[in-house]
Amino acid sequence: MRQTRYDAIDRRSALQGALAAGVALPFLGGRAGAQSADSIRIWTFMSAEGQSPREKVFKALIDDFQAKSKVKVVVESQPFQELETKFVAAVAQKRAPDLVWLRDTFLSLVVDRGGLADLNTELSPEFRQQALPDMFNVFTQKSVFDGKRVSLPIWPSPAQIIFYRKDALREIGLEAPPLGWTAFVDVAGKLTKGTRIGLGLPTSDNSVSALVNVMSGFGPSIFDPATGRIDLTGAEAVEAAKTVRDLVARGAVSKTLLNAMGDDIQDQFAAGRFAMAQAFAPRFQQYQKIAAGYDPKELAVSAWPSFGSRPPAVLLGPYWTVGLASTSQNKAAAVAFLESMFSPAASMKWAKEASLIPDRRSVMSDPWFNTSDAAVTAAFFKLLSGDGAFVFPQRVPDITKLFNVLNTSLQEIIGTDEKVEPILARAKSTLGW
Amino acid sequence: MTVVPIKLAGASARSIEQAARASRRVGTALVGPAVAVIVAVHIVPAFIGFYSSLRRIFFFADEGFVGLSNFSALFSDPITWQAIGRSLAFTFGALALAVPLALLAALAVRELGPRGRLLLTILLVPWAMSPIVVALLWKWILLPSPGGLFASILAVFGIPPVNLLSDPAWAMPTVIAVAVWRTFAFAAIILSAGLGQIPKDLYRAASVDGLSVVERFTKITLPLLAPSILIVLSMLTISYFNEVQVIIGLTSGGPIRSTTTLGYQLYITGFVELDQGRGNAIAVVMFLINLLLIVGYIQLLGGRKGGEA
Amino acid sequence: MKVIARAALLVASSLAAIIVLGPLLWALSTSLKSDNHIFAVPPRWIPDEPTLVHFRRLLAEGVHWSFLNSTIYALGAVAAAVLVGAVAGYALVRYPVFGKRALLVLFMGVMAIPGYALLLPTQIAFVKLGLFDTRLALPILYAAHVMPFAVWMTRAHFAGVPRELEQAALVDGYSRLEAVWKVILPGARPALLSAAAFGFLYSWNDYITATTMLESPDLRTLPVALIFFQGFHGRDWGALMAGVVVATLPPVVLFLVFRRYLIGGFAEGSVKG
Repeated sequence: MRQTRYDAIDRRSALQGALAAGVALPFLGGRAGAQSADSIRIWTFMSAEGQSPREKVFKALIDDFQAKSKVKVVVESQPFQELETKFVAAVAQKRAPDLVWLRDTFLSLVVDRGGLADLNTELSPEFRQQALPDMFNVFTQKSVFDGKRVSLPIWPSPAQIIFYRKDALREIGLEAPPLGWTAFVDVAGKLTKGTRIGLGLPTSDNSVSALVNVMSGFGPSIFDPATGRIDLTGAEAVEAAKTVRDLVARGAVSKTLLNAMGDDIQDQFAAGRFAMAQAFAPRFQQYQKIAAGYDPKELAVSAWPSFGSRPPAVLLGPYWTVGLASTSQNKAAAVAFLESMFSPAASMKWAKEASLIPDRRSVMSDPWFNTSDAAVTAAFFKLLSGDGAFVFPQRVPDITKLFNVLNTSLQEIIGTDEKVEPILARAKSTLGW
Repeated sequence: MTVVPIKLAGASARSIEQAARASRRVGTALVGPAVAVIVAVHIVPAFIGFYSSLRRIFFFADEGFVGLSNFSALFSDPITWQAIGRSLAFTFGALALAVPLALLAALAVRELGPRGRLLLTILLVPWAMSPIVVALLWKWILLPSPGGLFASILAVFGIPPVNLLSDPAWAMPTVIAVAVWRTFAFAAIILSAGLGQIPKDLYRAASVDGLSVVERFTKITLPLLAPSILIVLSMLTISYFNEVQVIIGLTSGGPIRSTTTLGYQLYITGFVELDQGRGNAIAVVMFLINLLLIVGYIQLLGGRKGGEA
Repeated sequence: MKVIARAALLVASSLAAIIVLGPLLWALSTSLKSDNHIFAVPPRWIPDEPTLVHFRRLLAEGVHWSFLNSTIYALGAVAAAVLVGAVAGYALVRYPVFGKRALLVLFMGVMAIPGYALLLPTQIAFVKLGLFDTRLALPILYAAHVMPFAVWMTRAHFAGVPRELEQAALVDGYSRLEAVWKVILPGARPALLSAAAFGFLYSWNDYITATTMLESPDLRTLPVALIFFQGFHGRDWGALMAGVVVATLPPVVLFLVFRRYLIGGFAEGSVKG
């Protein structure tokens, strides 16, 4: 039998012959995604018909592009956590879309399996000269693998960040949460009152790890520069775990929320259950919209606290990037659409209508960013430009397992009385690190 | 029980033999498509699964033959043994809840007469639903917010909202209860049919003999219902052992892996973590356990009926 | 005493009915509430201002196409499974077949092995065959999963039909095919319907096969679309419960219409073995 290599699809393989005997081959037609020359296909988590602010802007950009170029843009939305997997499978089957949304943390896996075109040779000279230098370097650099630019980061965002209610903070005489962990733990404890809990942490999500976010308070050194691993039994990890324990001891993190996905935290934040919560920054408007237990105007954002005298921590990612499939039959049109999402006008639109940080830094000089509507975006921009900002390494090994394993550890740290060292040691051995 | 075709009267021995061969050809040809489908969709993947379990395949990239190392890694990982334990807890927990409930339901259905049929129909409605939809529905009902249905029922008794799905002690019983909610009435069909087979005279004779209700149940109903209970046990064991959709929908295996059964571990390893070599190793283990269960039950059931046709 | 027992029985049965139907009514109720009423305390069973906004949102997201897909896949699978299965069931009773005993064990055994344990290798095979993410992937798999059941069901039925009936038809000058068509099939209706109804429920309700074998949005089935719905923008419980209602109605209606055959089929099957 042939080996099941993803790139070795050979219709004459013995295996296929055996299978074809049973499952009639004449059925082979009817494959989805037949494509005409004047259309491009996009895989993203957004829906072309969606009603979220981001989706509306996306739709508007598509409409603009279609009107100008006469190229039809077909959006095929996918579950966000499966985009990379499905893209790799689709490349192997030669039915990949032209453009695909990929998380920065999964780029190396996709790059290693081929299928992404080098944007350095595809992007227009104007875009390379004007747009690229105008974007955030920490993001754009991460998409360059051995000189190949495999994707463009979109909506530079601090990803996981602290949302808080100003009204709750006011009750204890504060404007914003403290930016050092010792003071933060104390404040979070004080914010716990009645049925309200100080801090909501997602404890069960495939692409979010609160433990890593707490650790980010030690800065970029938490990732080993050579291996991309985190030292899970090192002093910093232990300190982070003990900090979570402190939060639990003060009632600031609930033992009854051991299995909470980001969505659960969001649901409960809306109901007024938390004073502060870890949240995905681009959901700011969503949180405002569903606010039931508090006044939406009281919602604000903060960086993560740091340890010692380090600057406030902003771990950028996982965030979205957009790649071009090397198999695309319509590269020119696909690249044209890709570039159109990064024009200054488009950046302005993402910022104004969806509260996203503009990809093009130059548009921040627009007077609109001084208005109160833009306060949150300006705050995000400041965090991004600060000293504490850093990203996940280009290659984090076992990225498909990392978040699951660390979330189980986080659940154990919150929900059990076991010492943190053996909990972390177990995570380390599960990952084989 | 082979059957000689019909138009044979008066034919010579040789032509009978010819006709029998022709008939056998027709019969085999008629069964052929069904067998082909079974082979293509059940047997061949079983072999591919075994073959893949001997290779290191990660995220669709095949890195070659690794012998039994996927299996040795699997069995030396305490998480695997924990998952096997959770599978047993789920399977037998669900059985322990479902079978008595089904028996009660079946007795009630029989007792209620025509209204019993209505009761059975109502109880079966969840069985017609999709497991993942059921999970979604219960997740909403169990939402630990004051506006949640379950929380508001607790509130009537003065109990504050609890988060069953988030509590390592309660998550497994809750997942079991939801799985049983969907499936127990199916077992009631079979038990109710079994009850219908028990001759009424026996009960009449028993009450003449002065047996109490409990005695009648333990001395007549249970022994005579044993075959039906065995069928129910076999069907439910296999179905619960492989249940994964309710877990995916309700708890994602948590908290602290308390609902991570072997089936869920397969889902996570193979389809989420994309460690497809190891995922296939888990699939092989599950396949073998299923096979073992099936062979065991065929033995038990076959022994009872004195062999298949 | 007897009256009390009877009353207790009725109360217990009613309670059971409430536990079973309550959650479904709650889903319906939620699906008709506007966003700001969904989390109301205390919860209300009858929505204050019923709204169809969540159902409209489902339509806007194209969930009706997923509904259509689910229907087509299920019907296709059922048609194929019942046809192939009934033919095999008939042949296994009326014809000598090579390796009959082994085949019977094969059909029985395969029926018990859930497709789930084979999903990962099936995915690999389907990718190789070019069947992955096509309109045929699910009908083929569902048909294969349901078919052993159809064989089992129809075989049990055909075994119970006296051979004389068929012989009489042949004597009357019918061909074998005509005899089967005119005499045997009408009598087999309950068995066929019960296999078909079960097959439809199985296919319609599957999530795990659909989510691992398809990825194009225009091929998606209803349960997959529904889970996708709790995707990236956070949960929208109103729309989700509207989806639950939409996904639950067809199988429940089908079950209610065919309950006689479904219940009868399983009851008979278990008694006859």
